[in-house]
Formats: sequence, C-alpha cells, structure tokens
Amino acid sequence: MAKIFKKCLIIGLGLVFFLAFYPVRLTQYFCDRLFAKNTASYTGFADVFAEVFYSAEEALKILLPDTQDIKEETRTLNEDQKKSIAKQAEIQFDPEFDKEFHFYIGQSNGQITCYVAENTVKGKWGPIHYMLALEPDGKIKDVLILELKEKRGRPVKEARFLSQFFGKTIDSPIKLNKDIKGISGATISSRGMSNGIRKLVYVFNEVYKK
Amino acid sequence: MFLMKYIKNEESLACHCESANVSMADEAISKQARDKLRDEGSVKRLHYLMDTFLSIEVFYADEDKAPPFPEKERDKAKEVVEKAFREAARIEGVLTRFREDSQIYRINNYSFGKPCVITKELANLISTCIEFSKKAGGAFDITVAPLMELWANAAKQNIIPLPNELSSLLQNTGYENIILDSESSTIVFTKSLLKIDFGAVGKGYALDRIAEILKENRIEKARLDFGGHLYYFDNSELDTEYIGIRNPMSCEEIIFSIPLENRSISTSANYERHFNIQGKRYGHIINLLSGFPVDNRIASVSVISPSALEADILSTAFFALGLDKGMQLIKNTNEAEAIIVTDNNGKPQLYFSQNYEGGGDAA
Repeated sequence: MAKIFKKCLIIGLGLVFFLAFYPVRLTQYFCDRLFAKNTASYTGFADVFAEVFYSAEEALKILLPDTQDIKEETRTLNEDQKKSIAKQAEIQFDPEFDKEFHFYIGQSNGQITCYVAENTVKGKWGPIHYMLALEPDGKIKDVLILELKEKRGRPVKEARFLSQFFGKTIDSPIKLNKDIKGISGATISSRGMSNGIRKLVYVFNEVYKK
Repeated sequence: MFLMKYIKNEESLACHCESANVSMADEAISKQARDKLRDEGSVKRLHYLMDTFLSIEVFYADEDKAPPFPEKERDKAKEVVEKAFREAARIEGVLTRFREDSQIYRINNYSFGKPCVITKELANLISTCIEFSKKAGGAFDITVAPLMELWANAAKQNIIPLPNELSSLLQNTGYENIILDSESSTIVFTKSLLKIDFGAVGKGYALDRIAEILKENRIEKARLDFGGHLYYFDNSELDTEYIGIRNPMSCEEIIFSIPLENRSISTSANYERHFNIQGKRYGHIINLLSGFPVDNRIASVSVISPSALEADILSTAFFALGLDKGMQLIKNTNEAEAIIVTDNNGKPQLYFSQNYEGGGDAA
C-alpha cells in the first residue's frame, strides 16, 4: 500500500512540475524563435567540395598534343637556389609541396617542344593541384587545374533586408537552402595561384635555362 | 532558474540537431544523384586564364536519354571544350597588355602619332567599347590603363598619388583620343601616354566567343563560369537553373538567387580585388572623372544580359556611375537588367532596375 502511495506521489509531483514549467518552456521556445529571427543572423555556412577535372594522363595529352616522347624528370633545388628565387619572385616556398619539382618534357624528332610543370599551391579553401605548360623559351602556354577544392555559398537565411525594394517587388516563393551551383560575384582572385605560376617560371629558368 | 536554463539548452540543442540531420541527409542524396548525372552526361574542365579561373561545363547527352552514354560523344565533348579553352587563351594573348607579343602591347607602345594596323576582330571590339563609353558618358573607358598603373605603383609605395599627377594623367586618358579607322583596321592615339586596358571587357568577350564555339559544335547546354562571371545556355529550356549572387558584405553567403537561362550575369564589386594605401582600402575600379578609385555606397552590381560583353561593360560602368545614373544607363539599353546591392550602414540592401522581371528568390 505504501509502495503504491509512494509511486502515486512521485507521479503526482512529476505532473505538477511538468504543468508548472511547461508554459515557461513554451514561452521560452517562442521567445527563442522570435529572438533568433530578430538578432542572430545565420552565418550561412558554406560547404567545401573537392572537384577533379583532369587525370594526369589526360592533362598531359592536352598540354603535349603532338609529341612523340614524354620524359619525366624530378628536380630539387638547394637552399641557396630557393632563397634567391624567393627573393626575386617575391614568393615563399611551401615546405610541404615544394620539396621537389616534377617536370614533363615533350619531345618530337629529338627536339624539345614543351615543358610541363606539375605543382600544388594553397588556395583559399584547399590545395589547388595544377599543371603549367611552358614553351622552351619560358613563355607560358597554358595552365590547367587538375584538382581543386571549392566552396559553394549557401543562401543567407535572414531575409530582413529585403523589405525595401526599388522598382518591382519579387513575389515568387522564397526557396531556402536550395542547391545553387553557380555563383556570380566579383572576379575571383587567387594570390596562391598567381604566386605559384610565378614560382614555377623562376624554377624552370633556374633548372633548365642555366 | 537553473532548471529553466537547462531546459532551454536542451530544447535548442534538440532543435539544432534535428534540422542539421535533415538537411545533411537531403544534401547527401541530392548530391549523390547529381554527381551521378553529371558524371555520365557532362564534362567539366577548369583552366587558369586572365588571372582567374575559367570553368566550362558542357552537357553532351540528351536529357531524355538514359545512361550509359556512348564514349564517343564524351570524347567529342572533351575535344570541343579544349577547343573553347584554346580560343580563350588566344583572346587573352591578344588582349593582355602585359605580354610583349600581344597586339595591345604593340598599340599601347607604338601607336602614338602613327597608325598601327590591327586585326578586324580587335578593331570591332574597340569600336564596341567606344560606343559603350559614349553611352555611359565616359564612366566606362578602356583607356584607364595609365591610371591603373599609377594606382598600382602608389599601392606598392604606400603613398596616395598627388593631385597634379592625377590631373596630368587624366588629360592623357579618354576614349575620344583614340582614332579608329574600321575600314582599314588602323588605330592612332592622339595622346602620348594613352594606353588601353581590356580588364573590364576581356572575360565577357571571351565568354561570348566560347559560347559561339560551343554552339557551332552543336553543344546545346553549357555552363560557363569565368571567375564569377557566368553564362548559361540551354536550348531545351526544360528546367531552369538558379544561380546565386554573392553577398558583398560576407562573401561566403548568397544574397539573392535568380534563374539564368541563355543569358550572362556579370558582377562588379571591390571585395575580391582591392589594395590598401596608408590603411585605407581602395577598390580596383577607377572613376575616370576624378581619377580616384570608385568609392560610393554601391557594394556590388550584377548585370544580366544576353551578351556577356555587354553585361561586363555595363556592370563596370554602373559601378562607376553610382545608383541613379546607373539606373538611367540600364534603362537606355534594350535587354539588360541589373541587381544592385548597396551598403546601408554595414547592411546589404537590394535594388532592382525598373525593367527587372527575371523573377528570383530572396535567398
């Protein structure tokens, strides 16, 4: 009997607490939602995608279209060479990616037609793996990207600033979190990429033109 | 009090987890499906050109056909894409002012006082640019190069250019100092320091040419992205592709999305390319009337037009002109529409040109 009474008491107490606090919880929930809408702006996090565009063989086929023979060479630079290049080109060598430099030399009829350098630089959201084709005199022929990490923006969840329109109002339904692949914006600049290209041109001159 | 806090935390935690899970799952499925489709019906390639990334994605398979698609078609599509890249590289080689073998380098250095012969293609492009310069009242001008060089040097030395330096250079700029003879394709500069820069035009022109090449090779659907300047075309017009416009205030967000079909969108803004002098930030677009980098309330201008070249030129001109005059400029064009984001005390605010009817979503 006492056991049943105790159980009833616990359940009763629980019920009382539940009923007493439930409105608090409810109001808090709504407060939270209202609050979030008014002040907290969602950061609209972006996802990072890795994309592969060319395989190495495919890229070489494109950069060295009519060569009969492709020779592969790996070159390393000593510290002095690295220092002087870094100073001249105003770049820094990456200890991870610039240990050695990979070159492909395209030859046809015994004549070198094109050099291709393979390298990786740090981009805004991840490494950019690319190939640079140089003519024997050091002129840049082409740069293609083998692999790249790309960030795709997510829509902003907050639409508060859209209350004022100039001209026509837009009355189509709002689509949140819609998958958007193409993004228009100011012309993308990649310092990593332009520095990387300059670096390879200097390395090429150091290794093959001396 | 403690209990309340606890409950609140629990509640918000539960909410977050749930929403995150759902969106993640949705995302994963749609991504998988999309990747599968893309793998088997399209080719996407990326090159580094004109100091930015050019990506070309072409769809070679009919939408109603089921995979697997023949290997032959894929190879053909790959070839066409490479052809398009070669064209873009060729255009860069013609229009760059930094390479000694380019036509622009030649006329920049040797065409003061004596006529230089240029290709028909370049003559047409220059005359188009001059027409737009007239329309924009000089706010857009390809002869901005001397000022750009001045500001680039100023940024290196960290000093603001002197007013008399600016005014003497301003006298040496201006499209009216180019004398172009379209019939014989010759060009003469009447000012010794005049130089041409195609930075604001090159990408648009290249996109138009690439689109032509793809269409010639019977590619019906393609998405081109030249470092943020997009051009999508699609003959079937079945599903509309939505594209986003970057939020200039925080660049990883999208501020607005619009459907893009057989048109091009170009955005001019300062958040990617700018320089600092003595702690002050300057944008890369220079106002040719004052000689100073543009500094107004506009955060970004996106112009949508069937011609990528026009979109490129108009977005730059709009940015330099400011909101009211820019709106007038868009009004005077046939098909162009504009979406403008202004800086309203650190918050973005959207404006649309009067003729804007593209629909779209507040993202």
